[in-house]
Amino acid sequence: MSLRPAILLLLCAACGATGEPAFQAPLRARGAASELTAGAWTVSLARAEVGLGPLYLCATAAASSELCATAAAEYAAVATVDLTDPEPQPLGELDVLPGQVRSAMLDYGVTWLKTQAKPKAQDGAPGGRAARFAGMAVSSDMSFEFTADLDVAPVLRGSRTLEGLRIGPFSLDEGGALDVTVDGAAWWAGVDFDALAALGPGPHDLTALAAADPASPAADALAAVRFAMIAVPPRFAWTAEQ
Amino acid sequence: MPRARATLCTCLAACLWASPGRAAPAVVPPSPRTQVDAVYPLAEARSETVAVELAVTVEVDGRVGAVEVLKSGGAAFDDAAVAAVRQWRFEPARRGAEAVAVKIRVPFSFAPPAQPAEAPAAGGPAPSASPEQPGPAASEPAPSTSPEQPAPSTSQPVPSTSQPAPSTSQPPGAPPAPSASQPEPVLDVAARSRRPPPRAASDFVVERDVLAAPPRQSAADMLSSAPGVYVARAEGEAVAHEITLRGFNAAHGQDIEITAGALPLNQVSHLHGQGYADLNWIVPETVRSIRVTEGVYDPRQGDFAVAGSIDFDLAVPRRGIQLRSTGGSFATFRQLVLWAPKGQEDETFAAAAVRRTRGFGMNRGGLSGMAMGQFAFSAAGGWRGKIHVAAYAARAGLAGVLRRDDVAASVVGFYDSYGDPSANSQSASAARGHLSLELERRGERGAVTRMAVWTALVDFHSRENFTGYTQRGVVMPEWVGRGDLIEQQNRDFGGGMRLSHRTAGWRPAAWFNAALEVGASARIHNIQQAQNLLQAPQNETWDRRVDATVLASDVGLYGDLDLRLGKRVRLRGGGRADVLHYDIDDRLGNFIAPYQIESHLVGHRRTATGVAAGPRVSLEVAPVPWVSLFAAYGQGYRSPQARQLDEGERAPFAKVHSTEGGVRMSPLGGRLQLSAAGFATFLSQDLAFDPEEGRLEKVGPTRRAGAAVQLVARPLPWLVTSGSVTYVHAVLRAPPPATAENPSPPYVPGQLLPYVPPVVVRADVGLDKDLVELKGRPLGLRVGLGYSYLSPRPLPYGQFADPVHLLDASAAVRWSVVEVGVEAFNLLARRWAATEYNFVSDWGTRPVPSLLPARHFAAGPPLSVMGTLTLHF
Repeated sequence: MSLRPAILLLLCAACGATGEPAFQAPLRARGAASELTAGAWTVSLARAEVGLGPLYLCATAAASSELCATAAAEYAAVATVDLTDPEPQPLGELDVLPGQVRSAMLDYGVTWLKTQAKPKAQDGAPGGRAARFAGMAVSSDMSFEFTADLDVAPVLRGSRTLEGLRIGPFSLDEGGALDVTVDGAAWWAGVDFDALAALGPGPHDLTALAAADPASPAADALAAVRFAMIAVPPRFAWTAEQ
Repeated sequence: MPRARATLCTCLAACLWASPGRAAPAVVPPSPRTQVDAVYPLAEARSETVAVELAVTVEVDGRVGAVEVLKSGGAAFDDAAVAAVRQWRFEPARRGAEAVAVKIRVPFSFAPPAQPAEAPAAGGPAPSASPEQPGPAASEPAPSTSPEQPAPSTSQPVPSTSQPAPSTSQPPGAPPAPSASQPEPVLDVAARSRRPPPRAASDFVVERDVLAAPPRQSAADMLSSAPGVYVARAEGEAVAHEITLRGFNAAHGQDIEITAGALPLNQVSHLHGQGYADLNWIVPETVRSIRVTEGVYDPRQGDFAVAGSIDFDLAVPRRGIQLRSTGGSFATFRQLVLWAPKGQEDETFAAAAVRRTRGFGMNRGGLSGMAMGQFAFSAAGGWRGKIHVAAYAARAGLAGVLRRDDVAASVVGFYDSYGDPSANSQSASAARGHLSLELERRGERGAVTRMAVWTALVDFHSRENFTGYTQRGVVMPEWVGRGDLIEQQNRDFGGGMRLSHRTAGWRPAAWFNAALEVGASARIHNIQQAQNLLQAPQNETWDRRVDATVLASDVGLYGDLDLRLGKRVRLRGGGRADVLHYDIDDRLGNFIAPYQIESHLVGHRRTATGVAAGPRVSLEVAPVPWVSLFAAYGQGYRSPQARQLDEGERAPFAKVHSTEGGVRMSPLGGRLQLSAAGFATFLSQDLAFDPEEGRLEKVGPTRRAGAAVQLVARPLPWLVTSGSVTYVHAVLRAPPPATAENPSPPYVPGQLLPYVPPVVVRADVGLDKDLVELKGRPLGLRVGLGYSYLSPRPLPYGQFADPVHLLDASAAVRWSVVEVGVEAFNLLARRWAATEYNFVSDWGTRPVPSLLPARHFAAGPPLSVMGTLTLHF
């Protein structure tokens, strides 16, 4: 009896569609702008760093810790993004399951995992914070420098800072890369720089001022930035690799 | 296409019908091993020779069953003949390799004492009567017969190649006169074959010699010797084995109807898995044979017969008392006491065993005890019966599953468990007790009536954590990260009965024979089940998932027609219908989430009733006596998980269409048995393991196609080899689409069915031989090997598990009542996964948990060596 049929059978043991296995794709991030105009103020950010990650892309329309227990792609780490640099910054590899994604959820380097009693900054977060900024605000008659280190954390244990973030939809195919664009300057658009100017000539350490007086304009400014970090989320694009 | 099939079948039948031949191997009559002479009734001494003729049923084990007097020589002579023949033992009759019960004619001739005046005094040797030697082989062999389809009593004798030797003992001075008659040796091949004839090419019986060849740690392990079967014990010593059968991942039994005689072993709506069947209560030394029917072609196959059915035949052919001690690796110790009273039927025995082990890694220790007894008896009116009782209890630690990437990163050892409290709190326990009574009465020409009742109490309790720390409380949503230690409890108290009657064969013409069997079965279960999440180490309940009582009933009816058309064609088939009823008290139904306004009280009671019905048919054509061609088709079903039913729902059964064509051959007088089959099955609703819930969930319709080949050879009386190769291509046809709750489903249409190995290879070799005489007793050697290969198993999300190679071996030397042996499991010392999964987990082994599916596995046992000491009295 010929062994050929038996060999063919064995070779065909793994024939057939199996669902595509996971692959890795480059993850890149870039800043959008480092300057903005807020009322009479022109604000230039000399330093704008944000912790990006963990990041999860989901097939559902509204990713959340409950509706996206299994992600379609993830960056299970934290990397610092220089928001003043408009060039793509490689952050690492994205682990991807082939398929379509429609939403994302992420943290800014500070997580509140189900196993964490309280929020915690992950390794890779800039200075152990969600974001760090340094800049100068200039108006027609005065200017001042400011710094701000701030945290933005999930509000519920086991949830993400940003959930239900609509993206795409786009199909994650091998050979592509995920580009993330973060407009750090836009986060300062809601800050009342007139109130900050009333604090004096500066430089102002907004974080310290807010800690000393939670009702101070510095605290309001940080709250406005935190709000904007949620309201003006990063933008995502899946691009074919060159 | 249907027309073409019908034409083909008709032509085939017509061609074969017209030609001479027979449908199955002829029957080799029994030959006596032990004969006891009749004692001449001196008080009734006569001057002439007295002839008595008996019809004796020789059972499949060689013992004498029913005896009736065909020709009387007077009460005293009749009684003497019957008393003698009841002490005879035979080599049983065989059809091919299978032992069958037959009814034979045994004439006795009581010669007058030569010198009556010199008759021996009381207590002295009595004159003996010798049974007459059965006649020579008839020139025309009998038509093929089956246990259910007896041959005509006298018209068509079976050729005999083995003749009972006449008695040669002669009382001094009183030689009996030999008989000159030439009776037909076999009157009826019918009485009690252990197994019904095969329905299809993939209807296998694994006999004791193959079962006993390689070492076995449990009765479930014996199933590995059946083609296409893979058995693993992934969840420790107290949880049922996981069984894969010919492309079906039957998990703990969801796709296989498993029975031990009349006792059904699948548990309806079991919380851990539909059809859960724990075989750990079976003492492996009491398994005489296992019938594995791969496919659904027999109307007797009921609920869970989707991939097929498995039946354990419990009996102990080697009689006496057996004390067997086993000890070895990982502080494993087992003690068996088995009593099979001599002089009783093989089905009569009592056995008890205790097994303790530290386990082959962290948190794997276990302790179990089992006791079982069975008593076979004959009652008035020709009834034969069997009472069976068993009890079993076990508890074991569970190491749980590990992530492959954690093992690769040396975060955790291959045989270890995650060191946190939730992982270390995994355990399982099981307990059961059951009782069954079977009655059977055989009539003329194959008529048989059977009745059976049974009751069983089965308890299951497990605490398992597959996913680490991913769950959020349903009752208290703010409770998270307390550990996904799933506690499941399922307590089932049930009972049932089976009835059937097969008519005597109806033979209006020489070429036509028909018999009809009708049967009914019923079972009812009261099932208490609960599922909670526990927080270790105090095992505080932090979430409730299931709290229900299910009353499940099943009433089934079937009819099975057996038609023999000519001598080469046999058509069997009929239909089966089951009415299933469920009454569910779901105490957590209509649950009110904390964010909802309370508008009602929690709880949902509902009932559902449905009917599952379908035909089964098989065609057998035997062009030559040792070759049978089979074509078979049938519809089977699996009952639904009761808690998934809505009010008034008509019980959405999972229905399977199973079809097969193949050939069975038994050349060389049955010393070689070959079967080959191609098959295809279509299942309407399949289930797969969901680690988040720790139970089976629906994955939609599936399709399987493949082929299997099995070869069993007994070239020498002391050597048996068995090998099989099964290939199957199993795919998901329409898995559940993405939903809001599950946006990234693990399956896509056309994907290979997860957990099912496409190729399964199995080989068994057994050698059992007396080597030399030592002080007048034989010194015997027994060697066994068993090898299994599984090709890489598909996993969810496009992954494949590693292939599996396993080699088990044993050797033993016996002399007198002592046998000393050694058993080695996983002789190749492979690191292998008993089962593998692909899902999301968070065991805290990385700073940021991954939400992508990762490969997880439950380690299979490493190389382990056991020593055995057996005393057999």
